[in-house]
Amino acid sequence: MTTTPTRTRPSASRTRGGIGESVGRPDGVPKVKGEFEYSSDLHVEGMLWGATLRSPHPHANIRSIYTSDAEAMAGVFAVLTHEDVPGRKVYGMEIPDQPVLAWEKVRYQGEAVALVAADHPETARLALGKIRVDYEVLEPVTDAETAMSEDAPKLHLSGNELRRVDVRHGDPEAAAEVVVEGEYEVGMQDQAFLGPESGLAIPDGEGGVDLYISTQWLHVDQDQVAESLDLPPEMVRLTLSGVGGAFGGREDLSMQIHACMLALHTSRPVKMVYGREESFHGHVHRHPAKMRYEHGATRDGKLTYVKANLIFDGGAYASSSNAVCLNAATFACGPYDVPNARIESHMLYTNNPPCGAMRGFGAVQVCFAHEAQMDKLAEKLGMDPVDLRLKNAIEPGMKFPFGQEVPYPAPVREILGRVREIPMPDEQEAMGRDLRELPGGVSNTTHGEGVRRGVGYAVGFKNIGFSAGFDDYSTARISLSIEDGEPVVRVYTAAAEVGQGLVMVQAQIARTELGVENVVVEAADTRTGSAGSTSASRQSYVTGAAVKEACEKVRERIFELVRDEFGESDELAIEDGNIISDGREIAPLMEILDDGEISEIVEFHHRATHPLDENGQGDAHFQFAFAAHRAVVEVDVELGLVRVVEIATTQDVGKVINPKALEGQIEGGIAQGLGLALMEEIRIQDGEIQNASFTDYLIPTILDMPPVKMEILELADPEAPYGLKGVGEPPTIASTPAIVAALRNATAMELGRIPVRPEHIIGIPKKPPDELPQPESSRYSGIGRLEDRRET
Amino acid sequence: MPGYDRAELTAELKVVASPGAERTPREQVEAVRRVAGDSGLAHEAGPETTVLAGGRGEVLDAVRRVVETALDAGAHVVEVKVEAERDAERFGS
Amino acid sequence: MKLRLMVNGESRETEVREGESLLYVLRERLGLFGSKNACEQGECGSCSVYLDGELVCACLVLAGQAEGSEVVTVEGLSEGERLHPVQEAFLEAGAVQCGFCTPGLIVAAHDLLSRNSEPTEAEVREALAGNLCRCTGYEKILTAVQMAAETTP
Repeated sequence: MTTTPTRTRPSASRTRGGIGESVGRPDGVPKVKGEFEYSSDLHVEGMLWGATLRSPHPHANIRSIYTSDAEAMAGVFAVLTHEDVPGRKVYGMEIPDQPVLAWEKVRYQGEAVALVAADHPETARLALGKIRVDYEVLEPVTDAETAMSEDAPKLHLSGNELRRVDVRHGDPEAAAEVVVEGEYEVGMQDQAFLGPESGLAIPDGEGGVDLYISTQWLHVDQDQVAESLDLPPEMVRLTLSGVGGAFGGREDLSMQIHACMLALHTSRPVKMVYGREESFHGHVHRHPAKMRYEHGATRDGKLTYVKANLIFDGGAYASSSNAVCLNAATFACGPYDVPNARIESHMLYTNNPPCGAMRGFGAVQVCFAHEAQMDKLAEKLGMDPVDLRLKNAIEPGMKFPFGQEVPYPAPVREILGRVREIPMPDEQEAMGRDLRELPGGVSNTTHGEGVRRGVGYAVGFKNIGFSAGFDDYSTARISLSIEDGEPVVRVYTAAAEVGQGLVMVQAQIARTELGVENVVVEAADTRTGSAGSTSASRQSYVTGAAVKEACEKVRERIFELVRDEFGESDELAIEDGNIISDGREIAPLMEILDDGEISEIVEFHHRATHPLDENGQGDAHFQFAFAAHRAVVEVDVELGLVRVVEIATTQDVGKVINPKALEGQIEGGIAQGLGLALMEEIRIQDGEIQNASFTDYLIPTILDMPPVKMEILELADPEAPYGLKGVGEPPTIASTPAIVAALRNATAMELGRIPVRPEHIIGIPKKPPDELPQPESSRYSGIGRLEDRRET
Repeated sequence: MPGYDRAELTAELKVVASPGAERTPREQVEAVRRVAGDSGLAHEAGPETTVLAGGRGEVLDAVRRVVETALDAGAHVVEVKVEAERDAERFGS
Repeated sequence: MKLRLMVNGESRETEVREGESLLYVLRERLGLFGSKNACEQGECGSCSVYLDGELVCACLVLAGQAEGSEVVTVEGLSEGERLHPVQEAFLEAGAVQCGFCTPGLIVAAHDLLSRNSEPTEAEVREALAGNLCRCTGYEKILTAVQMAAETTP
């Protein structure tokens, strides 16, 4: 591990559990005992169960909705439609364009149409079946390119183009000595968090409601729920309950407004829990993309230009598509010095499921394409792919194609160089190996025959936090008092812990800054100001900085008390609950504080960012994080089955706050990158999801996931708290293209689409041949005759 | 990740359709939607409600065109609510 | 109808409605929310429990099938404040993030170690292949089970 001095020197290095230690989770014991309360575990006496009727059609007009039969059922307490939405009938984070409940039209399969509250989930389910909706089925627009055409039906009033971002940099007519072109496609990935969308709404008897919920951003939920309930925000109070993973999929609303409507309508607490199939319809997904690229370079391997046309399928509603479109445009060239660029990034409405935030947010799709292009270029130039990247690596002081100066640190060269130096895994003989360690595993499909090994590299980057002019901030209140004769620090924020370990980071920062070991991170709710979203890898930075600054203010007030009592003192510090002056203990904190409580609140805003201009130029982002990956794979080239042998990675994190939690983020992020490379895709046919279950939507198991070797760099960002960088997303970005590069290396196949399927690897064409082999033909006789195979 | 390009001005227009007019309430709403859609700023926000979101000038211009269309189509009442965007307070307080 | 069964060593009796799964009964009727509802079709292992000593997905067992049976859930593995070594190891290794898969993994790892006190890496991977985790990438889970194998008597 490299160590670089950080800007801020912790004042209390001797207090246990501060930054830099692998502190355990405060919620760990309840989690291993099964006592941690997730939003699907909430229970109060007399509560009802809510359920949602969803459209079976991706595109249809609603002629009528008939609810009387459902209302008449015993045990049914409410049946609600769009007419019952008290306030704004649409919601959405950027553009409120999504109906709370559909009124005239449905635009995707799974769109919410009506709600039921009943005394048992089964009663609610049966009641949904008694609601009659008369649909006039329309032809769906199922492809972003079709949606762009003039004669496509307009899915929204202002047309199908949701957003377009152009980046023009340098000479648009630049020509090059060597040119490579490529077409790339990314399928629709799902966040597949394990804890389903769920929550409990409890009416307060005075017209307001309390909602206990899994979410990534309490305040943006509160804002949207209050608008649709036509209530002032203070009458809609949200408390974070246990969150079973998020990965972007909980940034939009799911059942929040619905549960509150049912609770206010029935004056009873209402719980809603999606099943897995409903969950696939109930949250946004990663945008599918089609990308055409052209790279030009000199004969000695310097990039001359990049041209890219990116087409994203935003699905039926806007969600955060605007920001994804911008991100993709700004990262389309990769972390390289590109003198001339022409990027078009298009985001379209279709009748497919809405897409929005998922870990990597626009950087994932383009990284797959630009890294494939770099490999293609290296091959054409006869260069080593890593050397080509090193030669073009971007550096601090240069300009990104979107006009922003590259800030320090941007160690692209260093992470690439180092990932190559990580020792390779031993090359084991394939024949005679334990079956579990071969492609196909216990399916017993090979004993080592036809197994080839491949190695691939990739590097990627992404912005941390919210960009392009958004006032991104977090609020923290810190209180220090004496409880039962001990100093205790309490941390109050509205920041969502979704599994990543923010509760540890907050406590570690408070211990470090205040020199008090006993720190309690209180449950997040909307009584504290907004912490912003748990997304964009931003919470350690933004909420971390708010906690740090609030602690510093509390500490300064303690030091004032010390000066009042002891006169001017040199080099004050707090360590392990004691006041230190000039290296000597002068008084226990308890004595200084007495019975008093010191409390400070801070709203931390990071450096301002700016929107892009019409040429896609601007200081849009405030921090960038980089990671490089090397994948080693083994492929059964006869069956197209893959085993990833090992992933090696280097990542610059600025400062390690919690080593074990950091490793967990990197390993978990790589698993999701592996999933996108090899297996994860929501398959959609005519606008309908074909695999809305964990039986058919595959995520990596412990058998799929290889060991991860990692090397962490700590190059401090001079503007960030402790110099840290966000760490959650970079592992997901370049791991996917590294695996696919390794597959190309093993098979020499083009593999322009992810997830790569077995048929792509062995080259089965999309369409069956016009003429099937006949039983008598020689081709047919060669197929599947066991005795022939035995002889060979 | 919301927050990019939040509109400077949002106008919500609700057509209170007049049943006695020459054109049916349905046609009145459709006429409004068509004109609103042409502005490139519009989204549906309910059975009779259309939202225009964008820069101050373009939204106010479009509001005038949409209201005129509604009146021409026979509507007697158009409810208009105009809101200036306040990012910072929106997710705080 | 009435259902009687032993849960974590205690005799329990509850009213159940036709069609309810053992998972639903454990959670909503008996208040044992440790067994989790992630897929409810036997793919993710989050609801792993012992039914008469066999490791099962509680979502695939009809409540009626458990009549008179003995069920042990994750809540039954620790003794009061004292965690089971498998639980200790999950904490120590950093194998818990969001924690939704954790109870099922702990019961499955408990089952593996009770059958095989010194599993190889391949055996651990095979035994836990039916438990999905979306946060950790499984590395720390593997470490946790190996640590537990060393400390389990």
